[in-house]
Amino acid sequence: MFTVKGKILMTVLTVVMMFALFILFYFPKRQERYLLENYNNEVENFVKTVALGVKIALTEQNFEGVETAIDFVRHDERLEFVSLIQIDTIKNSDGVETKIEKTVFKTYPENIEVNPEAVSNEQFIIKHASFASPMMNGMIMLSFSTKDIVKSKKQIRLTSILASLIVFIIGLVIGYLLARNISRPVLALRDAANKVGEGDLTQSVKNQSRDEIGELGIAFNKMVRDLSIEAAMERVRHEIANMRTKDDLLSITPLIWKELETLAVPFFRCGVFIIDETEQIIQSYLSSPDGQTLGVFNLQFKEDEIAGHLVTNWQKETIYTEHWDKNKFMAWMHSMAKKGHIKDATIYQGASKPPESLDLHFVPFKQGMLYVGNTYPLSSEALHLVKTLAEAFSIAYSRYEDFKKLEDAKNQMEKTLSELRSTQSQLIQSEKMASLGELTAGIAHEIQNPLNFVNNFSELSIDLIKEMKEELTNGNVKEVEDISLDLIQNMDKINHHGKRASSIVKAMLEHSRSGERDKVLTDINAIADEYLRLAYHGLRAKDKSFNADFSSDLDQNLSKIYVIPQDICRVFLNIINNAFYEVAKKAKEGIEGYLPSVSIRTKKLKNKVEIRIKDNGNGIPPDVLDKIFQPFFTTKPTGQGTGLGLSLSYDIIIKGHSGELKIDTKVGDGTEFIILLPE
Amino acid sequence: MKILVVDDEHDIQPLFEQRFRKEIRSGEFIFVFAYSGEQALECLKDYTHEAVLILSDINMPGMSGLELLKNIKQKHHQPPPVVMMITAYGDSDNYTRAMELGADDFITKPVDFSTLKEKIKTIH
Repeated sequence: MFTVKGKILMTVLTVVMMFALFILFYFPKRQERYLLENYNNEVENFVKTVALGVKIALTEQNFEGVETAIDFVRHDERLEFVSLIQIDTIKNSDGVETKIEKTVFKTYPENIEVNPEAVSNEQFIIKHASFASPMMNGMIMLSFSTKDIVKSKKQIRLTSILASLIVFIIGLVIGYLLARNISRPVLALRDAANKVGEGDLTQSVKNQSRDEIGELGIAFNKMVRDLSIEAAMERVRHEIANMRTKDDLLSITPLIWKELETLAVPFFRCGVFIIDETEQIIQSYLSSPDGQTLGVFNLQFKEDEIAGHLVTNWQKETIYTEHWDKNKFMAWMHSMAKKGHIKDATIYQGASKPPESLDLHFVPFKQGMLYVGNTYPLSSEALHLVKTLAEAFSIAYSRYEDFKKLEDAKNQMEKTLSELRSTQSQLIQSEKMASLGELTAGIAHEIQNPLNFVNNFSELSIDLIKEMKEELTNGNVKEVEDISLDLIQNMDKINHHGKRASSIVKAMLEHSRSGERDKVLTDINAIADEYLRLAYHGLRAKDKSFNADFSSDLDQNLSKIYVIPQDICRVFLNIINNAFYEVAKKAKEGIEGYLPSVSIRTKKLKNKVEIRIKDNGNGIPPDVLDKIFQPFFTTKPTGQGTGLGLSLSYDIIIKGHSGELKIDTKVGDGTEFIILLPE
Repeated sequence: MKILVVDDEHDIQPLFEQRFRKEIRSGEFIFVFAYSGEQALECLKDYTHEAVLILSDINMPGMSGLELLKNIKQKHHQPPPVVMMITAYGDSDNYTRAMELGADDFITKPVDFSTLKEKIKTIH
């Protein structure tokens, strides 16, 4: 495969070779012929002149004239010989020419034998010129040497070889230069194109020539530039699209910085102003002159003159430019530092000296203005590039905003969710507290009664002992015996009611204590009975008009089982409370002969303990039945139920104790909750 | 004097029996105990005109003391017996309700038996 260079060289060499060959062969041939022709003509002229001179001389019978005519050529160096030949025409008797006789009359140089019939050859040129005179008819025969011609021929050959050689060399040089001139930019283009292909968009070709290759180079450079702009925009889009948080936005300015550099826009400061019309603020992201971000600060719409210009031009979607000298720059910097927008003026200034001249360019886009600061005003071309960058930025930024909105919505939802969760846990807590509250009144009543008994029986016992002492003194043994029996009974009562009170206190403690969640061996009968009473008295305490019959049927064969007592107590309390609530509600309907009643029954089954809590309320309709274990579902009026009681109960029995919780209900007749706990 | 004591606490019986030991011995007071409102009404059927004083608890499962009071005062007896209400809840609601229903007295637990004795004797 031939390279462009090779092809050009070959072509040039072929042309040069042909030219050289022409010089080498055709040119000398032609020259020689021309030379020969000229020589022939010259000799011809000579011979004619001599012949004319001889004719005149012979006509005048002046023989010296003949010599004079010969003299015309006699001294010519090239002369071989010159002859005067007499031609006689011999006629026969009829006057018809039969023979022409040629006789050499005179020759110079005399010593040469001349053959009148001789013709030109390589060495000589022989020319004839006939004449007629009254004295004689004849011809002049002239022979000239071709020695000179042969010499000239050699000369020509030599010259032509030299000339062709020179032509060849020049051709070679020109060809090489031409090939190089054409191939070098082409090769440079090829290499640059390869690099661009590999992703290096900083390539450009240097080409000053004004030919097609130069144009190609310009087109190539433009193409690479367009590509690099497009790549820069793509990077902006990509980077911004990846921004997720406000902190990410801080990398806006380094990004813009980098891309302005890529786009070869002259600048030394840049920034982005995001304009928020609803908040009336401009979020300002600025860079220091070394490309570092200066963070973000919020500029009020009416805070600053430049802020005002920014907003009005942004609204009009026009580019705004301003020129600052050193003083103006310093004034702005200090005012920003004073307001606390700029933390460190030296970092803001960046360089050791403030700029002598700063041309500020603000290019609008949908969400704000892109700022480019340079020492001199930007060309319209550069501004166009900045505008393109701003547009790319805008698209990407709006995507960021969309994402941000989504993110915010997500965060809001997460917040709401966590709030809901905390509300839920609060509600669970308040459900617990509510049931504790319900208990407290019951507990007060329940504790008060045994305490009253304790107090009464102990007071009575004191009196009895006094009496006993008296009787002893009187020696009345029978009375003493009776009194001591009473005393035993009283002590028994005191003991019983004391224990009763303490067990209530214990239950209360267990109910409120949530930290300890260990399963302990528990007497289900005891807590079932206790909580039935507690629930009853709790409700009574709250609602004076409330009343219901309650009873318990406890299987004495029930052995203690491992449960979390406070949890099971809560389940009992929840279900019993609901039962009382239901019967009380039904009682208010004023049905004739209705006796509200709640009962609790325990029963030992195989490997299981069954607790049945039954009411004769209105029962649960099927549509409600589906939902009663759902958290926050309640049929009670607002404020009276948290909707968590049964949901918690369900969790406690099913999850906490691997038990079962079943409902047997009939609308109008009542409901029975059946709890099954493994032994 | 026959006194009917109504309370769901069974131990009220030994308590009263001891507190009013002397009065019982002397035959001054005769105590009859009922453990629910319903039971009290049954008793009253048996002892019509006999019971002159009824001491009733208010908080009882089934028929409450107030219902019992209403029953006694409105339906059963002419002239109605004296009814004293005894309750652990000395709140004004209970008090007002009891008084509206015609209770003769309202005693808050814990019962001060000497005061109760005085009160009973004034009825006498």
